[in-house]
Amino acid sequence: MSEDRELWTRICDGDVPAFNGFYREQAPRLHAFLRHITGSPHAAEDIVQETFTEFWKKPRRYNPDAGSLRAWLFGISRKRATDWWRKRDPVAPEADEPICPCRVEMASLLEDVMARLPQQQWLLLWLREVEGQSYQELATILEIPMGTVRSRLFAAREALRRVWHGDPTKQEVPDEVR
Amino acid sequence: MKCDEAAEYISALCDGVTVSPAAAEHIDSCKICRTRLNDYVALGAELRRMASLEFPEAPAPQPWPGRRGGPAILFQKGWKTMRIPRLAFASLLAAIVVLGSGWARQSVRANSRGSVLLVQYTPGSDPGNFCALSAVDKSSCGGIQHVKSGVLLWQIQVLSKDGDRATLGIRAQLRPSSAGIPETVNFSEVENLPQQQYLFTPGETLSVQVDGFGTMTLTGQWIDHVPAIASGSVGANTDLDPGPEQIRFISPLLLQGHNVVGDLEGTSTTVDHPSQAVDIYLKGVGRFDISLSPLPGAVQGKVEFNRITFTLNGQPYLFVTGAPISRSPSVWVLYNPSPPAWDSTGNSYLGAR
Repeated sequence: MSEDRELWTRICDGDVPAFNGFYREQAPRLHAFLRHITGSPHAAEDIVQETFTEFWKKPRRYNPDAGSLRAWLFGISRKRATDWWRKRDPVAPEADEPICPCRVEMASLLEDVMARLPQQQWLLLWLREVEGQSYQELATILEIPMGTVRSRLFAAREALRRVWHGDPTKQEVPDEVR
Repeated sequence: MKCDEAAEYISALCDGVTVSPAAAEHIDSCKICRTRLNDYVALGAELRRMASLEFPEAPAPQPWPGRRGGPAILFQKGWKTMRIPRLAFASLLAAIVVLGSGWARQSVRANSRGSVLLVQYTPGSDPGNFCALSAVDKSSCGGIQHVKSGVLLWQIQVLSKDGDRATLGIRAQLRPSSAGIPETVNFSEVENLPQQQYLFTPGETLSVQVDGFGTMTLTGQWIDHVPAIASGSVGANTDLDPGPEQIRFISPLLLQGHNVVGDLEGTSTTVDHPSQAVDIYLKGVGRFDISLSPLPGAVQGKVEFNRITFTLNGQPYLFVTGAPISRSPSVWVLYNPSPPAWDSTGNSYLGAR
């Protein structure tokens, strides 16, 4: 957190190299995360740019006492992705193209399995397993009580496990275990 | 403990959380729970492995927008709206241009409080002219002016800078017409006049009494560079002077050696922040990003008035534009001979990133 505060202070002071370093480190991960939420690499790219641009222009919207910078960034980009979904024209589906050939393999394995999970579970798994976000950070990003994070993670893991193994009872797995 | 009860603890174990002894014992001895633990761990690893395939390469630094717009400088605004009786000052301007020509080549690195005093002076009630005086070189400007009561000789020199204030050395004398106007007035005579010292604070008006003539007034401000047009009448070509962090490209032409390899005649763009870059795509040549900030893989280019010279792969390149490009003596030039397909529409263009 002290590193976050130091970085944030530098960004507030207009330190472009510091901000570029943060951008280079986080933008690819944020892009991958958002691409799964939106289903569109173009939309994901736009949201990444909007998120970072907004942060650069108004860095004091982040409160270092309220959580990690990365969690805050993922949180606001998730909200932007939600807005994108709301505003999206349902008649004009995204004409996405694969980013790279590896995406073909990806689509046939992970996406197929993950697509069967409720988005909330998918988000939790991605942020925990891929991004390594802590319970506290997950609570910040998803705006849920920290106590709920553990039970929801369990539900998500169990749902993924059943889908992965082709368990027909997968649909019975609750979205949330309280 | 039953397996269903232990299941959530298994998930917690995967998150680095310790669990109750009862749960730990059950997981250790229960084959089903061990399998579940292994599944969770394996799925997490598989998820990370597959996600790793998805992360795009780290993007290049972006030209982030400025945080606030630059406020209009009233001083400069005033220049553009003022009208000058040029004939009345023709002889004076000629002297200033001669003096000023030596300063125009001076290069001063930009900073918040510059060492160049831009003085606007008004002999009598006439509208003023300006000249740029370097505190580093202790440079001066001056002139000969025919006024009602005779000929006014004057010279202004920056002797020193102390914080925001400057010590000016001013020589001024009226040659009254009643004494008979000499046929020729040699400007070098001004050097023989006694020099009076004045403390001058930019933003305030300094009044200098000249016997037999009246009052000369001076206003001014510190700037961080000698303007492209270092002296002259107010409003004369001041628009040609690039802003502090600007890069201006107007009708750029690119030469490789002696060959023209790109011509974007009639196009123009301006960037106002070091994080931004001029973006040029030349069909058949590639893409150039030009920025005041270092860009990974970029080479340094030398800026001289309306030219940028740089070297790529041992080949000399030269951008020539229709106006001064930047106050900075150098810029960074990033060259990409084959930009991504989405980045090039096929036609040459000039823009900003």
